[in-house]
Amino acid sequence: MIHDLELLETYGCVLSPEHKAALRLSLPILRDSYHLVDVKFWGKISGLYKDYFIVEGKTKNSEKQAFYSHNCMDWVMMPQFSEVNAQNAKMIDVPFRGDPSYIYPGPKPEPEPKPEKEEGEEEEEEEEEEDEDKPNPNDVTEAVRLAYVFSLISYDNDIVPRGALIKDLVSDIVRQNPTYNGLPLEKCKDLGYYFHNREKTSTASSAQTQLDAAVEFMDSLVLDDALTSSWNLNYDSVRNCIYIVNLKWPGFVFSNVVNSSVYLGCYFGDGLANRDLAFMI
Amino acid sequence: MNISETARAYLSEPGADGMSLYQHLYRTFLYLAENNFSDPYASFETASQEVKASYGLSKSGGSFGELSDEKIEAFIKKCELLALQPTPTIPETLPLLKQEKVITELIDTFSLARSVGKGLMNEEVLSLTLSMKKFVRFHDVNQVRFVGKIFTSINPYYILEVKPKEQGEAFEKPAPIKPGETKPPVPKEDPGIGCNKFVYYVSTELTGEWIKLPHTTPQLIQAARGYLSFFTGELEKNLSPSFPGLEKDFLRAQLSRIVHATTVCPSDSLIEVEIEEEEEEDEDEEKITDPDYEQNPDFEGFEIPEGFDDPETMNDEDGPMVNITHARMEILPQGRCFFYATKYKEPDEDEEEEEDVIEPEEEEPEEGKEIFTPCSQDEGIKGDPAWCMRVCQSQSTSSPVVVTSNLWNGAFAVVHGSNTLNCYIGWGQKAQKVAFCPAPLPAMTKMTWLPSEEKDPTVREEQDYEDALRERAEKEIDSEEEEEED
Repeated sequence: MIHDLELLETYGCVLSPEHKAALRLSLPILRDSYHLVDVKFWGKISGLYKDYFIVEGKTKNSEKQAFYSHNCMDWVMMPQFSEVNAQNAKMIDVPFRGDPSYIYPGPKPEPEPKPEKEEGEEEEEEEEEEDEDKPNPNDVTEAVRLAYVFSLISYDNDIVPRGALIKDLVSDIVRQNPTYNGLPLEKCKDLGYYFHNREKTSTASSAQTQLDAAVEFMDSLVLDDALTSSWNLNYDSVRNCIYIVNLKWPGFVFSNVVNSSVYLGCYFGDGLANRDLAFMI
Repeated sequence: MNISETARAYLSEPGADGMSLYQHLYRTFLYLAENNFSDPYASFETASQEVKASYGLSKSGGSFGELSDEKIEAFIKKCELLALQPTPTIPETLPLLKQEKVITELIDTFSLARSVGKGLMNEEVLSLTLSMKKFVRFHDVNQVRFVGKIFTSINPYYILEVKPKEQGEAFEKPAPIKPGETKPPVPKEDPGIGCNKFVYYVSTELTGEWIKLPHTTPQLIQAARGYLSFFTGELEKNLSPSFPGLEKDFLRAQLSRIVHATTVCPSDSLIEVEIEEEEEEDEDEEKITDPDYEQNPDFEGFEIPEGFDDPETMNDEDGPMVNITHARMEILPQGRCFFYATKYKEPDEDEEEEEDVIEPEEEEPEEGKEIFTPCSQDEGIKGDPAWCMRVCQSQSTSSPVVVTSNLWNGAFAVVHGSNTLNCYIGWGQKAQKVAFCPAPLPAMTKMTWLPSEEKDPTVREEQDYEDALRERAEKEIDSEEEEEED
C-alpha cells in the first residue's frame, strides 16, 4: 500500500524514503502489538515545529484506532476526546505546533454558585485560590486537538468507490468485496460512484443503476452540500486514474485507478479547514 | 404456475449479455465440480468471475481508457520530446546550452527534495525537464527556472520564470500633472525591473508548448491582494467583476506575490553581477536599475542551524532563519518594487493662478524590505513564525534543509550545500490572517439617460401601419412591372 502512495505525489503528497522505510518496519510491529487486523497510512498533519504522521488501524471488532508519530517509528495511541473537548477544539484556528503536550487555553468556566456561608472571608479566599490551581476543563492539549481534527477529517474524507465494500444484508456486517475489480472509465469519472464510508445520513440515493442494497448503503459524495464540502474530480489520462480533491480540506487527495481495485486517499496538510471556501469556488 | 416454476422462469430470464442466471449458475457448478476445488464455498465468487470472463462478452474496453483527439495529440508531442530525435518540429541537436545544464540538474535537485518530503512524481519531473529543454531551443533566453505547479479545477499550471535576452522597451510614463489635476494611476514597471524583471510562461500539459503571461501592473497586484479564488484552469476566463482582469492576469499577479515573498537563498550565496557601465549617461532621465545576481563562488555552503524544532528559538530574530535571506525585493503596498511618486509640474509664471487650486502634498515614499533581509524578521500570522524548517533525520550533517512558508502554503526552498531549489506546489492562495471579506463590488453607475415613457400603439394603429406598408410595396412592384413592359 505504501508504494501506491506514489500516485498521490503529483499533488505534492510526498513521503521521504526515510519515512517510507520507517513505516515498512514499524507498521507490522504496530499491527502485531495491538492485535490489529489491518493498518493503513492515513496521512500527515504538519505543525510549526514538528509534523504528525498518522496511521489508522482496524481491530478484530471492526473498530478503528489511530496512532500518531513524529518519526514514523514510535507510535502513540491517539487519545479519546469528550464533547467539551470537541467544542473547545473547534474554536482553535491556529496551526498545530508539533508538541502533543502543548495546552491551548480555553475560556474559564463560570464559577459554580456557592452556598451562602456565615463564616468569615478567609474561607472564600481559600476557595478562590483553589479554583486558580484547578486545571481548566476548557483547556485542550494538542494531542486531544489532533484527535478531534483527525476525526473531523476522517468523517468528511473516508471515500470508497461503489462496489468496493459490500454489506451482508443478513448480519449487517460490512466487509471488503473480494470480487471488486475496479470501475470502468465512465463510472470512474462520475462523482456519484464514490461514497463516504460512514453511517448513512441522508435518504436520497444517487447512482443511476438499480438500487442494490448490498452496495448502496452509504452516502454518495454527490449529495454533499457544495458550500461545506466541495469536491473536485480530475481524470489523468497518463496514469489512467482519477483524482478527487477536497477543497474544504486542502491537502486531501483520493486516487482511484480505472479498472483496478487500487484506490487510496491520504491527507497531507496543516489540519486547518478552508473556512473561506464559499468565496473561492 | 406453482412456485418452483415461477422461480425457474424468473431465473431463466436473459440478462444484459443474453445470459440468464439459471444458465450461469449451472455452468458455475459445473466449473467447480470439474476443477475439484478444495473449498467450493470460499471459491464460489472467483469461479463465478472465471465463468463470466470465459463468455467473452465483457464490455469493458482495454486498460488504457478513452482518449480524446486532444489527448492523443498531447501524447504524440510528449513522445516526440522523449525521442529527442530531430523532427520537423524540433531543430537539430544543438550544442549543450548553459541553460540546459540547469534543466538536467533539475532531476537531481528534485530527488534531493524528495528526501525531505517535498516534490513531484519522478516521471512528471522528467516530462518537465524535456518540456523545458524544448522551450529553451525555441526561445532566446538567458536564464530559465521552474517556479512551481499551481493546481486548478482541471489541468494544473506549470510555471517557468525566464530572463529573456532582449527585454522589451520601456513603457510610456505618464506626463507630470499640474496641481488641481487628478492623479493618473501608478504606472507598471518596465520590463527587466522589479515585478516585471522576469517573464513567466505557463504550460498545462507539459508537451513543450508554453504560453507567455502578460506583464503585471500595480493595480492588478493590489486587486489580487483582495481577491481569493481557486484557479479554474482556463487562462482567458473572466473572473468576478471585483477583479479587473482575466484569469491569466490574476495568475500573473499571484506569481509576482509568491515569487517576491518566498524566493530565498542562504545569506552570502548570491553576489551582484557587474555590468560595464556606458560612458554616456543621460542625466535628465532617472534610470532605475535592478541588478542581476549570480552564485557566489566563495560561498562555503549552508550549515544546518540548531533549534528549528524549538518554539523559543524559532521566533527569535537571531533564530535558525537568520542565515536564510530573501532573494527578491519586497512588493510595496503600491504594487511595485520601486516606489513611484507622481510627478508634479510647477505652474508657469505666465499663467494666472487660480484660487481654488489645491497644492499637491508630497508623497512619503513607501519603503519595503531590501533584498537579502533575513527571513527571521518576517512576521507570521498571529505571532507564529513565518517559516518552518525541517531536515532529513537519518542523514545528520549532510542532510538537505527544507524551509516552508506558513504564509504561502506550498512554497518551499530546499537548501543543500551551495544549491538552492525554490519551488511552489500548491493552490496559489495566501493564508488569511482574518476571515476573508471580499472587496465590495463597484458602485452602481448612474444612468446618464432615462428611458422616456411612450404610449404603445393600439392594435388598430398597428394594423393600419402594416396595411400602409403593404400597399406601398405593391405599388412599387406594379411600377417595376410597368417599367419592364416599357
